[in-house]
This record gives sequence, structure tokens and C-alpha cells, in this order.
Amino acid sequence: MSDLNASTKAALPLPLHGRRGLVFAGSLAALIFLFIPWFQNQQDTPTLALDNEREEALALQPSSTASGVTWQVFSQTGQLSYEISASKLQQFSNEQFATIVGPSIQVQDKELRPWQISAGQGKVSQGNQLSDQDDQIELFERVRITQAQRQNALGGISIETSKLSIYPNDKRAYTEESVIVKHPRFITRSNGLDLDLQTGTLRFIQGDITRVVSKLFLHEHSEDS
Amino acid sequence: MNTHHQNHKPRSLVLTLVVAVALTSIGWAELTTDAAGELTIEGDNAVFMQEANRIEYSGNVVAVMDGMRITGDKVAVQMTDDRIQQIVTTGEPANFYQATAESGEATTASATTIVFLPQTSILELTGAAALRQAGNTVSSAEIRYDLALGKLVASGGETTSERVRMQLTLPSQSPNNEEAQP
Repeated sequence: MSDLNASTKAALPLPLHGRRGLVFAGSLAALIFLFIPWFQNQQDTPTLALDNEREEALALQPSSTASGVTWQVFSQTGQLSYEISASKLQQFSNEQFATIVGPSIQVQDKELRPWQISAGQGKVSQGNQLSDQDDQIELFERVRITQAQRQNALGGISIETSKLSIYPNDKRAYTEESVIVKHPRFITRSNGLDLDLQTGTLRFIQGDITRVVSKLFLHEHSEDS
Repeated sequence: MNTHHQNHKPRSLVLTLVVAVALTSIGWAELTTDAAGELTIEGDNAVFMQEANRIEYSGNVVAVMDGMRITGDKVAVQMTDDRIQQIVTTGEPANFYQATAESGEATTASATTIVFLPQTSILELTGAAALRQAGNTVSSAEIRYDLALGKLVASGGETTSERVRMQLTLPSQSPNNEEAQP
């Protein structure tokens, strides 16, 4: 007990500036320890940020551009699946898509009669065969679908809308935008449609408010009238 | 609180009715502006089958033309290359209405199936068919009605034993006529 008291007493006479020095030194060490990762980040971040920006900038830059292009896509069985012509194409390889200006697309129905689809602009996204994801062609501005062979036979339709998604391998076209469908015997207006490009069957999508409205021509009718 | 809620219910009901009436009026106004020879059809859904040259409407379907109105659950329009062949309306029942310009009285009809043949202006009503015109009612399995002439032919039908029933409203005689009688 006496030794313990002696040691306690021996510790007490330490000078005050010495204890402060120890506290200061400890605090400094703790601060340095805490800020090491921050210093490391300060060194790494500018480089990483530059890399990311460079990658983003590269992604926004087309990997290739072309004018007046036409390309054909064939199915696994070797049949022509669809054909796209465009006045301008920009390919973004990293993003797996291409943008097209003034696209004109042909997709054949089951009787090999072509649908002609045109628009102001478009975007072609490549599908994934492994996951059965179909290619997708998104069209914008003045989208028009016709089938000349059927129209000549008086049974064809033409469709006008502002936006359309085409799944060329599934032979399907879809939109939720307002549509006008013209046929020699009727004109129909609605919002949204689902078109089977194989059979030509067209379903108007049921909306909460929108109704399908058709004007039928019981007598001869000119489309211009 | 309860009273507060109860007060709101009739108000909202009245508002709903007013809106519904207003919407119906707007819809009807739009539907009655058709040019001659144009039939307007409106429905919740529609499917156009290009191979069959046929368009089918479903869900509260209304067809309107020249003062004529047909309503039903489904309407199928069958077309050929150069004309509309027939318009078939089905419902429980499907209803027909035609305003008559001369007398001001309307002709109304109902049946499970109403077939309109635009080329001949003939209406064929089958299945619990009934037609009311100028206070007279005809009930039969089948009724053919000529829209242009306003004439009808009722028949019992081949598959049913239903007979034609007519309920005629006789015009009341005026006192002057009675005095002239011997």
C-alpha cells in the first residue's frame, strides 16, 4: 500500500505543460489518423473524376456516323427480318444503340407484304438474343405506317402518330400516344394501339378516359374530303 | 363529423350527376354533327382485323347517323373491298332510336341483335325483338324495319314458336265526328 501511495505521489508532481503536451500529441495523432483516408481521396478523386467525365464524354460521342445508309437485319433462319434506311446514322457502341434521322423502315408481314414505316427521327437499340430481348426501334415525329400492297387492294390502313415503338423480330408496333387510323371505309381516332405486323390485327388500347371513335363512310369516300 | 360527411354525400352525388349529364350532352353534341352517309361509332375498345376486313367495338358502344342511334355492348362492322356490308349490334338488349321528322314522334326498338344493312337501309332485329312506333308496339322473334320507308315486317321466326304480337293504340274520336254519325 505504501509503495502504491508512493508511486501515486510520484506521478502527481509532473509539470502541467508536460501533461498538456501529451494530450496535444495524442490529439494530433488521432487527427492525422482520421484524415489519412481524406488525404488519400484528395489525391485519388481528381483522377477518377476526370476518368468518369472522359468516359461519359466518350459515350456521348458517336463511335461512328454515316449518311444515306440502308441496312438489313436477318433472322436466325436467314429470312429478312427488317430493313432500315436513314439519311443520317450515329452509332453509340458503348450504349448499344444508334440514332437515326429520317428513318424509313420495312417490316414484312406473314405474306411477305412489306409495311412501310417512316418518321422524323428514331433510335435503334440492339436486343439480347440470350435473354430473348428483341431489338427495339423507337420512332418520333410524324410517324406514319402504311402497307401499300393492301391499300391498293382497298383493304389497307395507314396510321399516324407522334411516337411508336417497333419490335421487328416480334413483328409488333406499339404506342400510347394519340393515333389516327385511316382506311378506305373509316377513320378512327384514339389513344394508344398495339399492331400485329404479321396479321395486321390492330388493337386500340383501352384508356381510363379515352374512347375509340370511328367515322364510317357508308358511301364512296375520298380521303382528301 | 358524421353530419359533415353526410352533408357531403348528396352534394357529391349531385355534382357527379351534373358532370355525367354535361359529359353526355357534350358527347351527344359531337356525335350528332355527322355528314350524310357517315356513321359515327364510339366504344371503350376496338379491334380491327385486317385479314377479315372487320372492326369490332366493345364497351358501351354508341352508333349514330342522321337522327338514328343504336346502342349496345358490342358492335361489329363487316366490310368488303368497296362497301360496308353490315353493322351488327348485340346487347342485353341492344337499343334503336330514330327521330321522325314529320310527326315529331320517335321510333324505338330493342332486341338482343340488331343488324343494320346500310345499302338497303334495312334494320333486322332478332331475339325478343320489340318495335314501338306512333304509340303502337310490335313484339316478335324477328322484325325487319325499313328505315327509309318507316315500314316493318314481323315474323314468328323459324326456330321459335313465338307469335307476332301487336298492341295498337286507337286514335280517340273527336265529338264533332260523333255528332255526324247517324
